Amino acid sequence: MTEHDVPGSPAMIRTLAGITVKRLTRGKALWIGGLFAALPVLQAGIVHSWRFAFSPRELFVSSMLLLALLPAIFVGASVGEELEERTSTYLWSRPIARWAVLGGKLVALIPVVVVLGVGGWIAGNEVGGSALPSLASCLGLAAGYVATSLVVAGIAVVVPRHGMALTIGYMLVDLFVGEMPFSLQQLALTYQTRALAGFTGDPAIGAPLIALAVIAGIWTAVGVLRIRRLEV
Amino acid sequence: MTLALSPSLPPAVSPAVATAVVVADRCSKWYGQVLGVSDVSWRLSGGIVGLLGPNGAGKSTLIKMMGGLLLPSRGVLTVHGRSPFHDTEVRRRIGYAPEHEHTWDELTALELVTAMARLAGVAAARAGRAAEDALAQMGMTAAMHRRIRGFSKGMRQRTKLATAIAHDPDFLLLDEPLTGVDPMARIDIVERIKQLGAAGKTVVVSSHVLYEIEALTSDILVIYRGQVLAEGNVFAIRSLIDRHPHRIRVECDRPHAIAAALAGEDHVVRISFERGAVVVETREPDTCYDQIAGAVLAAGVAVTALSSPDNNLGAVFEYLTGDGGRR
Amino acid sequence: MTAGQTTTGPTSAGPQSPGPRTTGQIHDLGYKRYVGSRRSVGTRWRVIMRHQIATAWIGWWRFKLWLIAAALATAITGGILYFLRNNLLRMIGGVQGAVLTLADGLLPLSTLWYCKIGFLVSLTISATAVAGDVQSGAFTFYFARSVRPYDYVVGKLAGIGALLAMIMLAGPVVLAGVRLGLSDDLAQLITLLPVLYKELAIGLLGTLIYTAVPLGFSALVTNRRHALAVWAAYYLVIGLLAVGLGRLVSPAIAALDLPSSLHAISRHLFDTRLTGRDADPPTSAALISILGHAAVAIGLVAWRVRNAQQTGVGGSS
Repeated sequence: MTEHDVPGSPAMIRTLAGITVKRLTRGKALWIGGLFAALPVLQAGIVHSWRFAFSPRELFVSSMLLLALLPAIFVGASVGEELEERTSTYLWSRPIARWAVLGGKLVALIPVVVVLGVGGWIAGNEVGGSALPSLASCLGLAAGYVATSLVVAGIAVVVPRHGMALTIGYMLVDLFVGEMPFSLQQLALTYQTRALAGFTGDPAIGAPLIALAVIAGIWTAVGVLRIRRLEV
Repeated sequence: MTLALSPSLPPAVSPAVATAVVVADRCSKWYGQVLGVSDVSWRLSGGIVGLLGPNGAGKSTLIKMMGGLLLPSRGVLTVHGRSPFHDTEVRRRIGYAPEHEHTWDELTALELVTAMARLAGVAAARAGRAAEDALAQMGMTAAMHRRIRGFSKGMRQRTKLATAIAHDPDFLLLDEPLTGVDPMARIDIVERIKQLGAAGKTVVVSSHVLYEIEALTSDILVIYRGQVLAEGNVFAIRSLIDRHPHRIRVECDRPHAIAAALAGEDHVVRISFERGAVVVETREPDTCYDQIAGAVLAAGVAVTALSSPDNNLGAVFEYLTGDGGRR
Repeated sequence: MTAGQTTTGPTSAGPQSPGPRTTGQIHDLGYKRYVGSRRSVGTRWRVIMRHQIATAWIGWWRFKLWLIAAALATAITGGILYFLRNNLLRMIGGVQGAVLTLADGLLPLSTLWYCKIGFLVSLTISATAVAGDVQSGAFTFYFARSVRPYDYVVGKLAGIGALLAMIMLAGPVVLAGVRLGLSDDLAQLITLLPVLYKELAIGLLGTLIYTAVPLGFSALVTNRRHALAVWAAYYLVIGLLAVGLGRLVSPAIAALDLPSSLHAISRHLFDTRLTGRDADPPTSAALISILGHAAVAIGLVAWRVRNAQQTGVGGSS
């Protein structure tokens, strides 16, 4: 009989996070994500080189589009691949809680998404406006990426094969809803991210944070509940 | 070893159940409209057991239920008295090598096995060593620092087996471990599995290739269309198959002399002749062997070969499944 | 090759280099060759087309959901056309700023939502088609048979095109039918008949965009998920950049954004324009952009497939 203990969840999350990062550094997703993150820099560069008036608000619109793409290519792809290719059988047969598998991936991938997304925003501002963006905009964008990553994880658990496509579709609808001039926009991740970043004119941060937490929490709960019952 | 069956477990756990590794009680599994496993009741106490059945019989379904990957739709399946699907503690004692080939190809073999060992609870300081030992057991020492992406099928199979044993489980589930493996590697892996069994581990090996199971063990569980057709020692099962009398083939210089000696016996169903041989079909093989020996001595027949063409796993399997699973 | 025909190979004695075998033999162990009629080589692409359609029909997320969305969009638009046909539309205007009614303005405007649905379908089907085949090793099956690269390319285009046409073509044509049905009299009906041809043209161009271009990305990037992401990034972000540059530098640059090009052609065909917004890209630039994108994409697919045939590409492990 084996002598070692059942591993605790924090240790398992750390181990899984380490494996995820290792795999990420050896794949192409990081390069593609980096390329995407550089798109706002490209936009700012073009504006700067043609000597047009630089608008952080317009640059933020591109960053909103990346909100749809970066979590999809990292979180959506990683979770979807694990379930679709059934490498999760190695994990489910181990003495670890299933939610910890999701947790490990998120712990590894969310920082990558945030760094790339916010990094692109900062670099774009530097190139276009020769000034750093406001801290509020960076934090707001970071919160948006965190929330979106959690939503993406939930979607990818429910529909592993088409998780990426559905995530992008979800975020496109979210962008549309976020532009609506009535209260429905409160349901949109993109609207709340803009609000936190200071681009809606409303200085309050409590309500957007709560809204992001609720939306992300609902999808995270969906993902965790689904993964606990998933059979492979 | 023939295992006793009981249709339902008594409220108080008997010693047999208490020591049983796996207890399946009227276990069924549906995938929508498709029946994977149907009303399986089975008890496994130890040793190496071959899980035998054609494609789609339900072998992988049963193995996955034992590994905690699937939950029975009906009935109960426990490993060491606990549900492997819900109980993380019991999964510590299980080593599972899946049938599919997908792994984390970006990692090296050592990295993968180390990660699996750590996820099974082996301390970080010891996981690397445990992984190296497991890979060495599977003959993968030379390739353990290479990325899995470049591995052949045989190397992937060995790596999979290494992930299953790295944390030293006492119950191993190997789902088609020899698929796609070349003949030399096959012999090697079979030997290693037998060593694991000899070391006291309980091993369930599934396959649809009869000679693979035959090489590993004589204890089998035959599954067909989701139902258990037979279980236990293959020769004991053979003796229970009355619908197909045993065939005994005697190569000799005077086959008719042996035929004449046996023709009047009640247990003899049929006698046929081949070139230089007589084939006797009998319901009582032990009695028949004695009578053949007597006839040979009495008539002074020169026997060159004596064999039982259907006293093997292939014949057992064919008889059981060829009858459409009729019991 | 007939059964019993002997091989013409080298003899076992002597150090001769073996030439390629040109004949073969099948021993009579019960195998019977298929003796029925065989499909002509020129129609093999239809098999691939049918397979593509059948695969897309599996499950809900791949295509059925978006088809339902397109049907709903068509029904809602048709309903609005019917009930509110005389209401004024502010989003687009007619020639020289004339105000349009919903009946006249909704059709060119409808490309907006068909494009969104078409993009979603392209994510689940078009953008992963070739990359998925490369990853799974399907090419080894295709080219072990008498399938030519041409059959594969045409088959994929036809199959995916048929699916996209159900959304990009059928919807607008139905709306055109509704518009014709709202005619007050026969004379108006005859006057409005070109609406049908215009919607057909817009639908065909839209089908071409969402079939060919993502297929090209799928051929360029051989990982299914990465191909999807790159196509989405190109469509969304590069498209946005192009629209921005079109506003600042020259409207022709906005033609790089495929939906903008399609909207521009749609508005041109219906003699409408956006109100209170910047100029559409020129129609010629829009058409060149769409056709150019499609040509490059089809070229990429052909290159990838020919490459696969010649290198004997296998699948992922």
